[in-house]
Order: sequence, then C-alpha cells, then structure tokens
Amino acid sequence: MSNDINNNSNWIDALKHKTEQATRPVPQGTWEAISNKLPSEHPVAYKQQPRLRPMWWKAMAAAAAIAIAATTGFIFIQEEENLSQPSQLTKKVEKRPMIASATPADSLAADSTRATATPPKPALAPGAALAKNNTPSAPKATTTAAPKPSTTSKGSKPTNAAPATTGRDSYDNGNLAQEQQFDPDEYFYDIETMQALEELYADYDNVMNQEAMEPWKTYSDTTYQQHLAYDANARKVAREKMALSKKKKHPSVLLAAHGTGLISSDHNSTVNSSSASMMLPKPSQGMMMAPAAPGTTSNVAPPVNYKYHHHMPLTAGITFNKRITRNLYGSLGLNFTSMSSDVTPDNGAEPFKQNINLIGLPFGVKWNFWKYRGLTTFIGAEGLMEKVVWAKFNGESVTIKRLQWSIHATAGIQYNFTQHLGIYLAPKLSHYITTMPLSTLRSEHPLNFNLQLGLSLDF
Amino acid sequence: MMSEREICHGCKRGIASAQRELFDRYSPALMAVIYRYVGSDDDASDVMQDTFLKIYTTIHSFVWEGDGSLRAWITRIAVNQSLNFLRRKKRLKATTVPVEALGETTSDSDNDHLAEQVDNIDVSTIMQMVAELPDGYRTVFNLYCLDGYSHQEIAAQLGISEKTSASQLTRAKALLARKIDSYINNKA
Repeated sequence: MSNDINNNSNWIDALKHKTEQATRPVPQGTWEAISNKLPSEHPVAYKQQPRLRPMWWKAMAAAAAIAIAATTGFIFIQEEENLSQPSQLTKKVEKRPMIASATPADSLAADSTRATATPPKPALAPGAALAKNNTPSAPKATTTAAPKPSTTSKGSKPTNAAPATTGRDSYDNGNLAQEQQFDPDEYFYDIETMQALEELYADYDNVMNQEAMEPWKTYSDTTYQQHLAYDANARKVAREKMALSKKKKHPSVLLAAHGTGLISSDHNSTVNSSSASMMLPKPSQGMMMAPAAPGTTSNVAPPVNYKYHHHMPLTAGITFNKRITRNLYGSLGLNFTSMSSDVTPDNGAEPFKQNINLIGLPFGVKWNFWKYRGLTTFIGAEGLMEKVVWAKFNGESVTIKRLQWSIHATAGIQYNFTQHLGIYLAPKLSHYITTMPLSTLRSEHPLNFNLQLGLSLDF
Repeated sequence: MMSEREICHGCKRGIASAQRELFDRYSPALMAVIYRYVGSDDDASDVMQDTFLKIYTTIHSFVWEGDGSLRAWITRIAVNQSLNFLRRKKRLKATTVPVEALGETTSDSDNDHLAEQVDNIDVSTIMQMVAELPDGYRTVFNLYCLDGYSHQEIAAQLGISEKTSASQLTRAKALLARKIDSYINNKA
C-alpha cells in the first residue's frame, strides 16, 4: 500500500476512525448457511503438508487393490480346489469298503430302491432278512414285471462275486445321472407300498446306524462313518426332490422327509439319518421287495448330533464415506467374509469342516458429533446385504440363494493423521436378521457385539 | 474465551468450535466492512457467507503474526469478496456525477470543521452516507480512505487507470463532504 494514505485530511481520518469501530447486525441463519456449505471437515490443516497429498491417492488405490485382489484370489483358490479334487461322491465310492457277504436280493434292493447314495449294506441287510418273512404289509413290493432295460439289468445283475460293492458302485457310477433326471411320474406307488418301503428302509437304516455306532463289528476303518454324514446330504437332495414332486403330482402318496436336514441353530445340530423318502422305482421295473424282517424295528434311527466349533469370522472390505452435510456422512462399501467351523458328529464319525464365504454390500450413515483437533467421535447405523458366494458342509457344496440381511449400530472414535486418513476404534452392535440353513456363529448369536479397529479414508 | 491465535489454529484443524468462535467474534465487523462496499444489507449477507467460506477454506495459507493479524487478513478477504461481488454485478464502472452536484473543494479550515462534524455523527449514519455514494465513488473511497489501498493498487483491482481512481476519489470525497454538511445543517 502506498503512503499516499497519509494524504487523508482530518475529517477523513476522523471518518476512518469511526468506521473502524463500526459493526452491523448479522442476519439470523447466516452461520447455519455457512456451516452447511463448508466443503470439508478438515479444510486446512493438512494442506500444509503437500508432500503427503499424493500418498492419499496411492493409499486409497492400494487399499482398493488389496481388497479386490484378496477377495478375487480367495474365491479363485477355493474354486480351483473344487475343480482339482474329484467329486466327493467319487471319493466315497472309491473308499467304500468291501462287504463281507450279501445276497442277490440285497443287491437288488440296494440297487433298485436306493435312489440316493447310501452306504453299502452290511451283512445283516434288510432285504435278505425281510425276504424270509412274507408279511402282508407290502403285497405289491414282491412283484417283478417287465422293467425298463436299465432297471432290469441293474435289478438282475448277479452280485455274489462282489455283492454289495458291485451293486452300489454300479449304481453310484452309472445311475446318478438318472437320479438327477428323476421323474416323479415314474415312481408312483400306492400308499401301502410306500409304507412298506418306508419300513424297509427304516429297518435298513436302523441296522446301518447300529453298526455305525459299533464300527468294529463290521469295518476296521472309519470310512463307513463318513458315509453316514455323506448320506445325510444325499438324502436331503432326495427329500427335496420328493417334496417337489409331492407338490406337483402326488401329494397323497409320496412320502415326506423324516429328517430335518442340516438346519439347526443349536450348537449341537441334529440330522435324522433315517429318512425313508427316497426315489422309488415301480415294482414293474424289476424291484424285488420284501416285508419287514423279524426282530428288527421300524422305528427311525437315532439322530446324529453335530457339535460345532465356530472360528472367528474374517472380514476384509473397503468402505467409502461421502459427506452429506457438515457432520453427516453416507457410506457404501464392499466386503468379503469367511466363516469356518469344525463339525464333529457324535456318532463317532470323523470331524469335518464347514466353510461359508459371503460378499457383502454395507451401506449406512455416520454422524460426527464431537471434534477436537484431529479427534472425532461418531455414531453410525449400517445395513448389510450379503450373498453367499459358496458354502461347503463336509465337502459338499450347499447352495444358499437367500440374501443375508443384518443391521449394525456403532459408536466410535477416530483420529485423523491427515485430512483424509484416520484410524478408528468402534464398538459395534450387530443383529443378523436372516438365518442361514447352516449353523454359524451368526445363527447361534444373531445379536452380537464386536470391536472394530481400522483405517478410514474420508473424502 | 479463545485467543486469536487459538482461533486461528482451531480453524486450521477444522475444529467446529473454533470456526464458530471466529464467526461470532468477527462477523459483525465484517458485516460493516462488506456493507460499506456493497451498499445494502441483503447483498452484504450474501457476500458475508462467501467471505467466511473463503476464510475457512483458505486459512491454511494464513500465517499468524501476532494479535490483529488474523483480523487484518479476514478483513482483506471481505474486501476482495465484496469487490468480486461488485465485479460480478458489473457495478464497478467509473461513476460520473455532474460537477455542480459535487460542490466546492474543501479547504483546510473546512477540513477541520468537517472533522468536528464527523465526530458528532453516529457511526450508522456515517455508514449509510458512505453506502449511498455511487458504486464507483464508494469503492474507491473505501479502498483508499478507509482500507489503505493506493491508487496503483486500486487501479489494478478495478481495472481502471490511476488517474481515474484519483478522480473518482476526489469526487467521492466532495460528495461525502457535502452529504455530511447537509446532514449537520438539517440537524441544526
């Protein structure tokens, strides 16, 4: 400024002196208008450190890349594992032990009547025993009529050389495709026949389970026990198919499922292993049936209880916060959660793993209610929509199409090192609304409390 | 009560309480400064918002150099925002007032007399008299007489020549002196 200001005359100096002290009332609402227009919560402090500015973009890009790479990589690794391994069914067949003895009737019954994968019949097979006792409960079951070629050959196959194993394996290897193409119209019985068959299978399962409880009686290894767990899954598939056909075609004659499947929210989940709701070929297709064996019961076998040990879920994700007003942020993100559990059947079978992986879309709001220097306290509410990308129970894939919904409330404290980067600590209360058909930590504790520690990138 | 330095540091860190304190403490004075330039309360309110937004978003560039430096800095921002407003509204054209309307040039004795008269007039009236000056005169008068800018700086700011600035100032002073004189005479 020039010194010509000194040229002001006296009255100008007096006027200047007066105006320097002048004030005018500020219209109401001016501050609110200003504070709402402020573009950034930390508008200034960190711009004094320009050398750090490029790091924000690098940090954000690195975080996003790591999150995406980790998620994608994890999914691919799991899928590769699935592809590289032979199917569980094949493994089961290969591991199936030889059965000491079985009659042709055993094989017939096993091959023809078991539409789902079942364990090999032991020496005390229901078919053999039942054949000796002609009770009137299953009159149609004893007929043999002109069958379809495939069924006929299966039903009449001599099985003495390698009785049960041959029959079961031939079924497993050759007829699973037919099982997948199950047509309820071809498996229509009257109610009496179905009841007879149900008793037959109940007896069969009873024997199987008794032997499973005392494996040393029949087998020297644990393969048989593994079949039981596997069988539960296979039966579940059959039950679902039966239920479907029941709805569509023959609601009065098709048997319903006994088992509860794998759905349970208890720590010890129960699977009823004595389902009789199998896909049943018509007698005219070559099935040979026999009534209930004397000395055996028709009661369902004791259920198998599973004990779960849930590991801590691992979640990786990235969330972006967008300022809505001065202290209110909207957030949107992407995360990946992996949950694993050790499952131990109480029937002596070997423990196995349960893995569930989900991709989630968190969305919510965060309100900063107090700030001092770089320190901010906040509360927030969040919704989370998750999709199960894959899930496995004992090596078997489980399809869960239902979206998993949850709500979360959080209150935390954040310290910003810079304008955009901060570290936060936030206790979080979560409620998982949607239940999954597999037992998880979430299903056992739908309402849980956790502590989050993380980095925050705010822009 | 926060000191000016604390306010400065708080605003630099984006602390809401410091920002509010800055507003509460300086907004009435800034309102007066802006009113002197734009000439109406409504326009002054709009410019006021822009001024504080500018302050909060650029305070990182301010270096505190002792008490009063913050006020001087935000006053300068207020002046610049006012000029920007006038420029946007195309109200910075050089104003021409008929010579006869300006009255005679004041002498030294008149200066002393006017100084006494100014002392007897309340601030709001003085502010109103300044605000009633034509835009061009008022701007140059404010910049030169009240805010200490030179004609060179005024010329650069307003895009006019220094001579025009000096001419506008002379006319503004004459017009204002006449207003003061008229006010005192009417009051008497």
